[in-house]
Amino acid sequence: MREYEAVIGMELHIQLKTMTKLFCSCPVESESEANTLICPVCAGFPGTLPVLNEEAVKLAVRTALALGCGVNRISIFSRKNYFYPDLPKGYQITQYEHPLAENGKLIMGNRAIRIRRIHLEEDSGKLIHTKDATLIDLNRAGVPLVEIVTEPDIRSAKKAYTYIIRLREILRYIGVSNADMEKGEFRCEPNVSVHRKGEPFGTRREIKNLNSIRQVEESLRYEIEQQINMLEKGKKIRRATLLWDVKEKITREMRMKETEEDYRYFDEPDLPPLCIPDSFISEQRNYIGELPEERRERMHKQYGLPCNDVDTLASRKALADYFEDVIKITKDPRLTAGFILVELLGFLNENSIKIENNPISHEHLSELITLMKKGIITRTVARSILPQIGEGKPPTKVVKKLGLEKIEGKKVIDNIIQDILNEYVDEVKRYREGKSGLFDFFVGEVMKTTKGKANPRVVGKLLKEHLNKI
Amino acid sequence: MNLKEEVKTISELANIRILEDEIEKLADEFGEILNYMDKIGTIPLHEVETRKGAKHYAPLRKDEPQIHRRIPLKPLEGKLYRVPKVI
Repeated sequence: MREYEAVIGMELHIQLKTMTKLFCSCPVESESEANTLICPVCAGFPGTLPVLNEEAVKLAVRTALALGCGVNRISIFSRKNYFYPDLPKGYQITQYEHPLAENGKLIMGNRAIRIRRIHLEEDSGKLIHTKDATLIDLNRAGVPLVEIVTEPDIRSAKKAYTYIIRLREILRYIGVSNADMEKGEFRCEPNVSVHRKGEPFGTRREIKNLNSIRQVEESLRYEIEQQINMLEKGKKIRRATLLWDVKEKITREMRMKETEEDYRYFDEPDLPPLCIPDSFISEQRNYIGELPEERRERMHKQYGLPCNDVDTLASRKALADYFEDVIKITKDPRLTAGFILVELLGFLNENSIKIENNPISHEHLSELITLMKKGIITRTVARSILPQIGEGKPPTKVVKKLGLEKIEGKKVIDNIIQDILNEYVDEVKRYREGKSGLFDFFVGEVMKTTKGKANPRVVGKLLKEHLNKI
Repeated sequence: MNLKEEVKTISELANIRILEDEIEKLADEFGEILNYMDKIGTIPLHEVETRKGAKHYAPLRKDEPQIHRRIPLKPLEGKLYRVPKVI
């Protein structure tokens, strides 16, 4: 039996970071009261005219340039007609035959995923389905989106996952979108077909209702399995749109896919062609600095850090910038990378703070790492005072004020250990009877008493000596 | 697809309900329209400038929110919208 191969293409919708909608001056806000951000234009009242948002065009051009697309000097808006309650006008303004940009690529390691086209379009309203009705919020109607369509160059669910991660990194680097999937700023509709290797591509099916990048991978994995099973049983695969059922983790056929013809696309008569002047392109090119892939390579070479570390550090521009600011002062890549990746990110995570809003200045973090490097404080202490430093207090002062300098004296630690062992007589007895797991408990108690100021390795060593003596 | 089928499909896409006995008449009318299009098709149009070569381009608007243009959805009088007094 010949092996099967999956062919995946991806359509991504990304909400552009603008103040106002694509064709009217209504504000774009994600958490406003329903139906308060609408006007006659985006609510589809008769007699209104769309006027294009300059910033949306600029951000779309920037996206196209970052993905190596050719930007078309002239592009045309079209009406895509269909009836659905989320679409007040009865059509969506999008671009069809003449999109904003074409023929780009996204580099993933040694492979490139070709980008077929990038175009601008307006978002629809949001539907909320209740038990006996569908409720409509038009705040989102008319919000600017770019749609990024790949060629069918992806061959596995895992690669699809990586493609999305890499693309999202770029979008965030160049500042065109927050690309938060949970907020709906980033939506993903993969299509997939399978065929036996060497034979023509199969019939593709599109998957919708994916709310996280994990779900994209899961649903593709499931659907590829499913299609192979169907072919094995000699069944014919028909073109369809599928819905991902998050609970059951299966795909369900939603409806027979409309053919392109059914949308009756035609040029939008209310908007003349869009002309992109050269000045737009050169201006936007300036916003594209070093992109994540290049930055990883440079940081890997320059600092000699392992790929895994560089991978995470360069995943967000704010994080990479911060790391490079700190490293200029500490001059210790390993220690700095380790502390930022584990302790700082852990601290930010626990407090639900995004790296972009990191309250600890790079000067203060450098100072803290230097204190560690000089052996004045332990890593445990450094981690524990991050909240105070986050309030803007200088690390040296916090350490002095709280008396957190590392306990070096063997004598001091010896005494503390002795006190602990005296206090927990029963535990010592059980330890000696073979409950060796209690060792960690003793270490914990010593660290608690010293407020983390003792070196855990020294404590472990001394503790062993004490316990062996008993 | 024959014309009658096409009439049905298009009425569905356009969200317009038509009665069974209207189909024949509409199919005839569709046919006439399509014949007319064929007539247009005989005119040499390849040299006529398309929209891509238009002289006017889409004007661009600054990305500045204007709240005053919102639809006054509130307050309501019973089930009616209320706007500032006109007369």
